[in-house]
Amino acid sequence: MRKNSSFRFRVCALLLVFFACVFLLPASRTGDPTLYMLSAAVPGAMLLLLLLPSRIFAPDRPSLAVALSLCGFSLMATVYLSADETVSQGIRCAAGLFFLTLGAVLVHSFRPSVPAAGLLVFFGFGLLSLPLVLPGFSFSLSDGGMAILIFAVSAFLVLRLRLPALLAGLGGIVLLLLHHEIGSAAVLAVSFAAIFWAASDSALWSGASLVSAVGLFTVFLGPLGYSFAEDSGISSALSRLSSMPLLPPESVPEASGVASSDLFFMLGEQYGVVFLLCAGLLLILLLIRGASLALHTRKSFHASLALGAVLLFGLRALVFLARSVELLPISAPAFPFMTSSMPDLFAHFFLLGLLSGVSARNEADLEEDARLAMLAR
Amino acid sequence: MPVASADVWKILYTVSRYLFPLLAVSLVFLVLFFILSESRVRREKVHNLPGSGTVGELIVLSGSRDLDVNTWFPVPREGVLGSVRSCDLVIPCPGVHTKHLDFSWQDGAGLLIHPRTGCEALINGVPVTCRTRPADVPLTHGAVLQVGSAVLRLHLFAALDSTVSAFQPLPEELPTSADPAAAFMTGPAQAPDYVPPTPYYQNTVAPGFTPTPVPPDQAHVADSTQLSGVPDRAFAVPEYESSVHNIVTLQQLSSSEYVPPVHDVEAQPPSSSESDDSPTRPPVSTRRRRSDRWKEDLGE
Repeated sequence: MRKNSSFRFRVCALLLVFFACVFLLPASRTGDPTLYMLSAAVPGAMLLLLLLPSRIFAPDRPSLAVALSLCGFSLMATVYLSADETVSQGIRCAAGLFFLTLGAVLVHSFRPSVPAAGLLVFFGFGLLSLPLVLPGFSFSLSDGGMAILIFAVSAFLVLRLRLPALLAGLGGIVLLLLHHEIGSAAVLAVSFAAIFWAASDSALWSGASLVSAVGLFTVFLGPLGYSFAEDSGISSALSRLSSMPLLPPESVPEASGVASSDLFFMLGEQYGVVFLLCAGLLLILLLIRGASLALHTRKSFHASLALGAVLLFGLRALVFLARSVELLPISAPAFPFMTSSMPDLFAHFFLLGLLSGVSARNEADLEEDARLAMLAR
Repeated sequence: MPVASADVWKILYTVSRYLFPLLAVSLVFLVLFFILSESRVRREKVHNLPGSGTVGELIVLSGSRDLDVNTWFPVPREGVLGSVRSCDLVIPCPGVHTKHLDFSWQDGAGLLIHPRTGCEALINGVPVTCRTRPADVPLTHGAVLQVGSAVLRLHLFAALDSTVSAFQPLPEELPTSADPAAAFMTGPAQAPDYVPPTPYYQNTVAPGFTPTPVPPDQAHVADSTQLSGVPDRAFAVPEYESSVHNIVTLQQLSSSEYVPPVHDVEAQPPSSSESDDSPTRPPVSTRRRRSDRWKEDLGE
């Protein structure tokens, strides 16, 4: 336990030094008080969140360390361009912590039942169909809707209601396809089929879920005639990637020199490819941690939730990278935790909250076993 | 107002070009070690708790050639029982399908059994199929589950906990019926016409076997209010048996007519004459008790 704590303190110390330096350097050049404030606030907030006693705030600390690092990278991407934009991104990340807590509390208090799962499906469908109902609605709530649908599908599968689970998953895919979010629909379809395969323990139903999802894509992309030309506005990310330096450039990054609008590529352009690799590795660590939580949990419901969160994170990043190197000519979701879209960021924190809730549950189960072992002595 | 002059800032920026990537890579490695150390701490905890994650154990009362009597299986909270190795509980007996039934623990109810389509199980002699509501026939402490030709008895560790409501009072004494199957049928739900297919255990309970009572003053009694918050329960753990079999209520303990239930057939060694009468009976394996394993591990 002592070793474990020491690693936690080392991570905290490194985050403190790293992000203080990141904001102090441009501050010393421009003398902008906002940057000075950020150099104190960002590492301080990270330190506080990672060191708060678990009695007050009990997230899964390794996952939280990864998420905070990725959020810190997203702040770094804008620090040379606009201090105000950095503050806005910081506020978005801080607000996301509410959804982290919400996810953890939901896992802790949710008992799978038909009405509760039905309510979640209704809510998930509502979020996914909002852009269809209100065409002028500019926010994309698809990530949040997908997270809630994964929650509902897991609940249905635990209750052995495979048909409602199948319908809920397929309904979500249809809604995403209808407003041309092909990448998100693919992510949901694969996650949904994998959860079905893992939780239903039935080859027939798993096959049915996979065939249905593939059939939907075939119908939508074939007879309904989805045109990939709609996404021709995707800029040539591959050429941008090849032009990025390995280390930070010799000259100070300027706003005019940054061609990307995506925080992930903005980071690469200003700090080099090595930071993109670090972000990718951190996400892989998050996936490993999530998979480990899913394996150690004792209830199939919690295992499905952790698996769903891991799949959504991993597949989202995969589709994002595939689009970036122009393997997939489709619109794709943003890289986890490195997006300026507030609903997407909240959905990512909600998924992280699911992982935290499962982790807390695992710890509680272990403590319970220790208590029983003590009684048996 | 810039703090650093242009030259100083240039030097700082040049240093940061190499320092920041170094710190970022260090961050990745530290997070990796953090995750590994968390996993190691968890592994150590689980190692010190051999029964971690299980709610009880199923003891084989009647098995097959590949499944000895008195073999015991730790029962996880959820899983699949079947005859193939991928199942959580592997029962290689005739009549057991590859994936015969699913089970799941529910606090306050017991172990709920969900037989797969076309499969059947008997809980205390009551047939359970995929159409039966699992909550109607839960598997509780001491209940007998028959799957195919295998007969298994469930011992719940969770009877120690607040989930003790799943615990049903054990019979006051073992039945001495001529039908040995009745010896393993507990509770009122026993089917009158139940006959097990392979009575391996015919000699396990000797005819006329009388359990040796343990007087209450020789039992370690703990007030369960300190343990689980349930005020009217206590544990009676005799010296020779530290399992959960002897859980009784305080009312029972205070009663002068109290006769502690001794239902674990292996606690009473069979007489030599009985052993001579049963040449075909498979050898009874020495069963290491769960509490012994805990003691060893905690002792280390």
